[in-house]
Amino acid sequence: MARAFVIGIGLTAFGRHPDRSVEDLAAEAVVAACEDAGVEWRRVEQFYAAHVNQGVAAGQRVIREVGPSGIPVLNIENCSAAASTAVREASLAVRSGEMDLVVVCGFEKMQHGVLLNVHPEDSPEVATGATVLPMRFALMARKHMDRFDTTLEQMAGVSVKNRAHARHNDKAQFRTELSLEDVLGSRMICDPITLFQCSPTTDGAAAAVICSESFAARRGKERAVELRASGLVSDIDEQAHNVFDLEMVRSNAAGVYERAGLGPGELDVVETHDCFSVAEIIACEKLGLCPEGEGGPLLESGATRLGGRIPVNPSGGLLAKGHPLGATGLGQIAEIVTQLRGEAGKRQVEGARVGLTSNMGMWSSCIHVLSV
Amino acid sequence: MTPGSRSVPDIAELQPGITTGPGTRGDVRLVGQRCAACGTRAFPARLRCVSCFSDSTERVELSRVGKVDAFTVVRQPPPGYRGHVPYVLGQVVFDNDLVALSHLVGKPVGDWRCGDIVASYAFELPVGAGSVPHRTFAFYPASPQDLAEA
Repeated sequence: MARAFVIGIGLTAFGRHPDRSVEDLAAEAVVAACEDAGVEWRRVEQFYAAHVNQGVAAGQRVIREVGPSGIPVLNIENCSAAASTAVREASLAVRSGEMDLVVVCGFEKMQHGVLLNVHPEDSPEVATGATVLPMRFALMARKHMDRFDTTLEQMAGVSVKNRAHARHNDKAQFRTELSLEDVLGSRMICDPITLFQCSPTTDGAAAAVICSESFAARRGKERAVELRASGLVSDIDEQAHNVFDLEMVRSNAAGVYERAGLGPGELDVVETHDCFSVAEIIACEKLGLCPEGEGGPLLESGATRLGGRIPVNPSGGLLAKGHPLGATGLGQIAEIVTQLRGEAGKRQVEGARVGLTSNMGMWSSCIHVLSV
Repeated sequence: MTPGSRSVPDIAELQPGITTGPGTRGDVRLVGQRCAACGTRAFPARLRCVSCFSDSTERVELSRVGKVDAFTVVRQPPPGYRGHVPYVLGQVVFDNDLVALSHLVGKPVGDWRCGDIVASYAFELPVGAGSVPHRTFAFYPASPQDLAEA
């Protein structure tokens, strides 16, 4: 198969944008990505719009703000994994040789309140109170504590680390540090997950320009980052067996590493889906950054901090950068591209050449490996 | 409210057919599916076998006794939930290796532990804008009688 490259990224600030429409936010990200890539909008052959709750034909509404088009527009909803799923589709279109230049944009304006696994109001899941998302991760946290003696401090430490990372990210929603006491002492949402171990609700958009090798070669490859391998795996453990864990991340990562021709030991930087603190601890295990059950000690050792053996979520992650559902996967891609270009400033992972993004939604895992 | 002392009125089921009708103590069995082709069981039942996709599946009444694998106290419910807050949701492993996501009731929310032995009973929840009572199931701490019958 041919190769695919990211040659431009664009992000709005992640946070609250009460005075702006979601179309406006998305258009800002698309235009910024095209400018970053040095390509004209009229050269773009296909547009992928990723979102979760932004209504019918949202992608068409977005490009009306960007400029005249007529190209195919694909709207992709895949819960919080929408943006990375769209990037995978885009890379497949380019790698198949069908497309030379495509743009992917993820965007979301969110309602306030606890994250929900959206069901119809009259569903049994709503009646039994089972649609609150932190519940799922609280069950995983409890099991991890029971099996592996993972501590409350180790889980809360994820929030502390990612808040510290976000100090150096001017696109992040929360740029102030939190202490372990702040995190553990915040309001209990679903035991043992406290408020500051939950990602916030966020408005924002992120976009990427993806092109073929020949297009990248014509443009000059200096700032191009290769989309080396991708994988999308949907969950079977919960869907078929009511078992809550992140096994889908492990099986997906195994396939992606094989296709990329490398292993977790060759990664320099990782952006992972810390929708709740414990999700990062378990994902580090499933991605092979440490053995099973040792995600807590890995966090405690400092290995996943900036300057550590394998920095995780240098952007601040979902916990600090924010979690605009449909944009999150592209927020991760944008961070890895910035890191591999060596343009991350004070949060730069020195000498980073290979990075991974691990994005999750109900009920799927989407992973990309990027390299320079 | 303890199991055995409750009267269970004849009310609408939240998910019809997901349990047997309640016994005299309010006890219910969860109803799952067994595949005649490969033997795989599932709860709740699906259109096809969750393992081999066979359509030759049969309904089976499952063992009432299980073990709490994980639990959480939910303090912030989703919009639309009409029941009592806080409430405990747990993953219960029952009938050897099946897993149910269920309300855990029958003792103070702070007293639940992984490994607690529980049994399935009818459980009433208010549903919808009118908070109309519906019957579903929950796991309670298992009584000596529950264990003797298992």
